[in-house]
Amino acid sequence: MQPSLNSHAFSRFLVAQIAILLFAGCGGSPSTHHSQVDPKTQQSDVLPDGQVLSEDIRKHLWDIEHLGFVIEATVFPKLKVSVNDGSLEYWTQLLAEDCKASVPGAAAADQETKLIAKGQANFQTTVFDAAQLSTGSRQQFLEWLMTVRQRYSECHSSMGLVKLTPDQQGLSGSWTTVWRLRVAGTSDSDPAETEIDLEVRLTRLSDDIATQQSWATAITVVSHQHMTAKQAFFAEVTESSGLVSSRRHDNWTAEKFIANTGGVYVTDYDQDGHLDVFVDDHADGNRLYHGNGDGTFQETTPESGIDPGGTARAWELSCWADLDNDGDDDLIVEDRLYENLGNGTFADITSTTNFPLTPAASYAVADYDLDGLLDVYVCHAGAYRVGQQQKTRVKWIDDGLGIDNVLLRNLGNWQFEDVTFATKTGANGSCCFTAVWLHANEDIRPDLFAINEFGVNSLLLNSADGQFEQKTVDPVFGGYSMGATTGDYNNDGHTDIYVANMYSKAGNRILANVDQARYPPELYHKISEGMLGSKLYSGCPDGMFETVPARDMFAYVGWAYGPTMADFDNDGWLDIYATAGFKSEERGKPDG
Amino acid sequence: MTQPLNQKANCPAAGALDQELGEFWLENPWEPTEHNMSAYERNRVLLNTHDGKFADISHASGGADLDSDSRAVVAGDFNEDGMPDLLVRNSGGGPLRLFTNKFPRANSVRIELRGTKSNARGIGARLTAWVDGKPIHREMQSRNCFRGQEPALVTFGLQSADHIDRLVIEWPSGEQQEFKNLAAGNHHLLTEGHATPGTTGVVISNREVSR
Repeated sequence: MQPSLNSHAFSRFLVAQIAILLFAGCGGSPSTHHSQVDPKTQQSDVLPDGQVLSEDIRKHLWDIEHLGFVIEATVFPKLKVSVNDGSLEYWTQLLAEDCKASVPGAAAADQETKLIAKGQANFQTTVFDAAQLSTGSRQQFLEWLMTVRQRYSECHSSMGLVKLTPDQQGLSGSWTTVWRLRVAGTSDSDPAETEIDLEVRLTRLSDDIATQQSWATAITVVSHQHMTAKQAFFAEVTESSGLVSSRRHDNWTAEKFIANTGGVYVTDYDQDGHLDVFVDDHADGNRLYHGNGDGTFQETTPESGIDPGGTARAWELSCWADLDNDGDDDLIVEDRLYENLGNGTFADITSTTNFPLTPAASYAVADYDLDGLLDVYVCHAGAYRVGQQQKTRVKWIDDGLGIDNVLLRNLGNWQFEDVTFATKTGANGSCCFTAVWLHANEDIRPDLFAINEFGVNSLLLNSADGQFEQKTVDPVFGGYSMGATTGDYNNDGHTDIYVANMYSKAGNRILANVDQARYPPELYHKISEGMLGSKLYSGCPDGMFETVPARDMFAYVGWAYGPTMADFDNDGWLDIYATAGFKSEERGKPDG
Repeated sequence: MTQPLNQKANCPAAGALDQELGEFWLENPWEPTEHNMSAYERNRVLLNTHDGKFADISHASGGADLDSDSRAVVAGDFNEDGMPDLLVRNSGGGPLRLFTNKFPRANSVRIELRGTKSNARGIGARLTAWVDGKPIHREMQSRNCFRGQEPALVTFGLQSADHIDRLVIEWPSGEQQEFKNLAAGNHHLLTEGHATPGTTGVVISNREVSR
C-alpha cells in the first residue's frame, strides 16, 4: 500500500473493517429482502463513504452475524446444559435422526498420548483425517459424545462459534458451521479438560431456531484434544505473600476503566539472593517489596527512598536497569530516576541525568554497542516523541503517522545520547508496546525485536557498522501484537520469539464470508492476520525465523498480553505462560 | 486504553439490534463501553512436549489459568525451592496474584553473572549448559513482556541430573569462559575472568519430593 494513497480514506475503512472483524456480539435483525452484490463485479476500492465493502455486503455480514449471535445466545446454552447434566437431550433434539455423523472410529483409537510432567499429566491432540473417522447417524455421534462426557464425574462446558457460512448467497438456505466445545472438570477427582471442534451442517437458521428440531443434518468431529492430570501444577499464595494492597486499581470493582493499570518488575535490588518486586499502579502508586526468599515479601517503600507517588499518576511505567554499571539495578519510575545506593536505599537523581523521562510504553535494556554500559530502548505507542512533548497520532496499519522508538546510548555518569537516527532503530514509528533484546544471529551483538500493534513487527539486526538492519520475522504480516518474549523453546541453539497477538472468533467467522478479491491484497493479509492469534517464530541460522504451526502452540489464546517462557517443570525445555483478556464486565453476557 | 483513541474509528451499525437478546454494537471500538470486550479470557499454561509442540495444561494449573484481564507475568523462584513461580499482573480480578509451583520437584541451577569487561549484570551473555550430554542454550536478559520485567538470571532445569557438566559463557565482551561441575540446588554467581564460581549463599532446594 502506498502511504500517500489517500491515507485518510484508508484509515476509515480499515478501522471500519477491524471494528467489524474484531468485535463480536454484534449483528442485527436479519433482513431477507436484499441480495448480495455479485463478488465478481465488486471492486477492491474504497467507496465514497470511506468503507471498503458496500452497504449491501456489510448488511449481509451483519445479518449472518446476527444469526451467529442467535446460536450463541439461544442454542449453545442448551447444548452446554445437556452436556453438563449428561443427558445430551438437546443434542438429540437438534440433530436429525438420520443426520450424517463422522466420528473417530477404530482407526483413531491409537491417538498418541503424551506423558508429561514426570507422568503427572497426559495430553493428546488430533486433527482427524477422513480415514480415522467412521460414518454413522445421530446415534453414533451421541454415543461418541457420551464417551467424552463419561470421562467426567463433574464438568462444566463452554462453546464457541468458530465458523458460520451460508452455503448459498442468501440466508434462507443451508449453512456450514464449526462449533468449539470445551468440557472441563474432574475425572476420577483429578483435573481434566477436553476440546473438540465440530463441523455442523444446518438445513436452516432463524431467530427461533433453538425451539425447533432436527435442523442439523451432518456433524463431523474435526479435532479432539484431551488433557488429564493427577495434580494441580500451581497453587495460589497471594493472600499470604504480603504483596496485597487494598488500594490497587481493579477494573472489576473500580468505577473507571483503565486499560493498563500498572506493571510488575522483578529483580534482587539488595543482592541478598532473594527476588524482590516493584509494583506501580494507577491508584496505589509505587511499592517496593523485599523478598524473604520463602514466597513472602515485606514492603520497603518508606525506607527505600522511592516516592510512593500521590493519587495523581503521571503514567505507569517503570524499569530496573543497572545504568551506572555498579552491579545493582537502578530504577526508572515514571518521571523519576533512582540510583540504587547498594544499601537497600535509593537516591532520586532525576535532576542530574539527561535521561528523557517522558511517557513511553516500555523500556528494554541491553548493551547494544558492547562498550560495557547498559543502553535503553524506549518503546512508544503513540503519546509523545521523546523530547518533543507533543501529541501525535499513532500509527494505524502502516499509515506512517506514528512516532519512532528511541535508542538511548549510555555515555556514563547518567548521561545518554539519542542514537535512534544513527543506528536506524526507530522501527518506523510503530505503535510499540514492548521490545525484547535477543540474539537473532550468530554474532554477540544484541539484536532487537520490536512489536507493532497494527503493523509489521520489526526485527532489528545489530550490524558491525553500528546500524541496525530492519527485517521481518513473519512471511505475511504478523498479527496485532501486544507483548513478546524470547527463548530457545526447541533447544536447537537458536533463540525463538513468542509474540502475543489478538485472536478473534468473530473476526475469523466474518472474514470467511468476505471475498478476498474485495480487498487490496496486502490489506486482506493484514486484516486476516489480525485475528489469527499469537505466533511463535522458531529461530534459524543467520537471523531467519520460521513460523510454528498455530495448533502446535495454541495461537487462539484471546486478546493476548505480556507472556513469558520459563521451564516450569525443570525438564530443560521452555514452557509458556500466556496472558489474555481486555475488558470483562459481566459474566454470561455477550462479548465483544 | 492502549488503542488509538484520537483517531476516528466509527463504523455505523448496518442493521437493528435485538435488544432482547442483548446484542450490541461498538460503533467506535476504541471507546470502551460497559460491554464485554474479549472478556474472561483465560490465561494459558502451555507445557513443552519436546517435539516442537506444547500441551495445554491450563485446567490443571490450580487456578493459574485466571481470567482476570491479565496484562503481564513474571516467572521467578520466589520461594527458592528451585521451581519457577508465577507472578501475574492483572487489570481486573485481583491486580497482582502469586502462584507457587507444584510440579513434581526436579533439579535446577540458577546463574547470575558479574561482568568485568562486559556490563556488570552480564546482560546479553550467551550461556550453554551441558547436562547429561545435551546442550541447553539460554540468554542472560532482563526481558519486559509488556508491563512485566524479568530479573537478569538464567535458570537451567536439569530434570534428575545433579549438576551441569559444563557451562560455556560467551560474554558480551566476546570473552568465552567455561565452568565445570556446577551443582544443582545452588545460585551460582559467575564473574567474568574469574575461574572460581562464587555463590550468593542462597541454596535453592533440589530435593526430589515423592508424591
